[in-house]
Amino acid sequence: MALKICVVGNSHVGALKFGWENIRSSHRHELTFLGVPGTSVRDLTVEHGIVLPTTNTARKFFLKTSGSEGIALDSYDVVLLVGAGLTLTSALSLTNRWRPYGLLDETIRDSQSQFNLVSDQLFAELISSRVRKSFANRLLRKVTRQSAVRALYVTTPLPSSELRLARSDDPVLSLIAGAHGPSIASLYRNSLERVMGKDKVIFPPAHALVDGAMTDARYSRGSLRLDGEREHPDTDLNHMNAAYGALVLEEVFNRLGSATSSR
Amino acid sequence: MSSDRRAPNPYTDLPPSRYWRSAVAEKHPLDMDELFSPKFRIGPEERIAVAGSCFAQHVGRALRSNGFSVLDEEPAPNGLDAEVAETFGYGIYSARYGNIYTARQLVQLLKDCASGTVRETDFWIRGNRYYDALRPSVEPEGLGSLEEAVAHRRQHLRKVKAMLGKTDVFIFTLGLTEAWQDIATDIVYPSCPGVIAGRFDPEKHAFKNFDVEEVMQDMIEARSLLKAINPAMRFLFTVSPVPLTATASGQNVLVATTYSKSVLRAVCGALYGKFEDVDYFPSYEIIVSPSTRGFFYEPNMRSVNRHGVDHVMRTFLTAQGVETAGRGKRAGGQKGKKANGKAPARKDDVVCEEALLEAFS
Repeated sequence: MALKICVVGNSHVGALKFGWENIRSSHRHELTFLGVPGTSVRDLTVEHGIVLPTTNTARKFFLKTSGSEGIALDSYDVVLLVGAGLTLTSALSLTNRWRPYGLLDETIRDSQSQFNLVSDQLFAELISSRVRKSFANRLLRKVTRQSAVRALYVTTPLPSSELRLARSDDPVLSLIAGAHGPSIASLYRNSLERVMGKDKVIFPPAHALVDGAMTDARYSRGSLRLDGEREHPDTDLNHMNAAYGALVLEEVFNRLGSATSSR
Repeated sequence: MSSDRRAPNPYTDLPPSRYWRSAVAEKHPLDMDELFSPKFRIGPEERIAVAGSCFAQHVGRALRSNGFSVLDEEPAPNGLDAEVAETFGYGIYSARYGNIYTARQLVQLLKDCASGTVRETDFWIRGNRYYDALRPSVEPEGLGSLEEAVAHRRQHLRKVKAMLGKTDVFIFTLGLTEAWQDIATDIVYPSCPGVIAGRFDPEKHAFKNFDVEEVMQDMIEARSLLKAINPAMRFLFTVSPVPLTATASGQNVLVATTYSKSVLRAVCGALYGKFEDVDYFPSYEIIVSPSTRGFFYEPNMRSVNRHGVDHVMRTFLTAQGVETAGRGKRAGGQKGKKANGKAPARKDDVVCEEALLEAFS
């Protein structure tokens, strides 16, 4: 069945948009893309079932990418909310001060004073709390409350595996690239599913990932900005290319194909 | 020579607050005067540490919300919901030590902080999880390994030590005289082994009901240990008006409660008379006064209700020169704010391990 799908989110909408161009001939769906980059995505709201920009900056991107000043949700079958500022690294920023025992350097576990210890249970709750309070989760809830449209959340890409080659002093990135990366990413994934609902979250396929915590570097090379004219700089480890976008969209279509028509 | 006029004696010309009839029987309990005349005022810049039994949680909350500088050396992680934080022992006291019911427990904590001592008997197991037996409520699901539990306790002791080093005024609410003790080490626990975690073993664990001399000695020792950290430290002691949930003394729980509270009250009175730097605040008397006819208690006749807590704290704050009941708060106050800066919903529940004993009734 052909579906009308609205893809809305921040700059990560770009990968899906360019990916769609690669695979649209294989599908009958109709996709509309709306991207509001950076923190401006937080200037979107939902009122009376319509997604609206609340600032001039957001309005500018709205008009530029969708050609309209608002999106009536019920005119679509599906809404994909992409990224919207919720990332593994943002959720993990708390590890700069609070860490569970298992994330401490074994050589200094018993004497360190840099981190406040929290239990695994509390750490998981903290990650879930970050997800719960995120703009992405709040917007997703507004969409599902104010319309009958089926809403899915497409996760922000995990950082590129080129992270391992980059010399980063960022302790969060070091965690992700290190031995604890897989368990942290798994914890984050579980939190997303627990908070948003397992049937509402779309992750990239496992084969696109490295150790479950990073995106395979081949999907970060040649990523384009939303305007489709410029590439992201080589140092950008967060944005993915059209091939990645196509993979994620296939995951979405698989989910929609195998799902009932429940919200 | 005779006269109808009686000779003066120490009871003539006393103010009304010194006579039961005028001070209590004929006064509405909310209007009783001169219940508390502080030995010393607590300034907004003075750093306060709060500890003690369940009732002390109300004290900490009220002081924080009225602009006093209550220390919190183990604050909740940013973004954690206030109720979840409390479940993990955050924001209740000045560090995550949980309820300290007995004077002996306080002395233990102070000694362990000073020496960094962590013992094997400080931990209990439930299932495959490890619990800090000296604050078993702060990790509801325990920890994954003994090593992890030890690391948590070591860090906690370092934090408490740091907190005490900053303390100007130490407020402690004495709660119980009854405790369970490890026979080999004499260590007392805030909860009977087997209630939250661990296993009760009559060969290893013994019931202890402290008498007035023992509590007095412990409180004097606690004061000395704290004075060694800060010679200028001052103390405000209170007795919890919350009765025992259960007693292992062999007596009726009402009789056991009266013993316990009497001992604690007597010790506070003695400490008040003995040391210039020790003050006593009569939260116990305010709640249990016959004139209240129990209306400050919840229907279970044990938990103090919101009105009782509010009245106790209003009495304290008024005596400290702080305006209350919707009038202006102390300058720089943090009315209604938690440590993380978020305004909480009204919450009067307290975390109380002792109440878990009711599950065995």
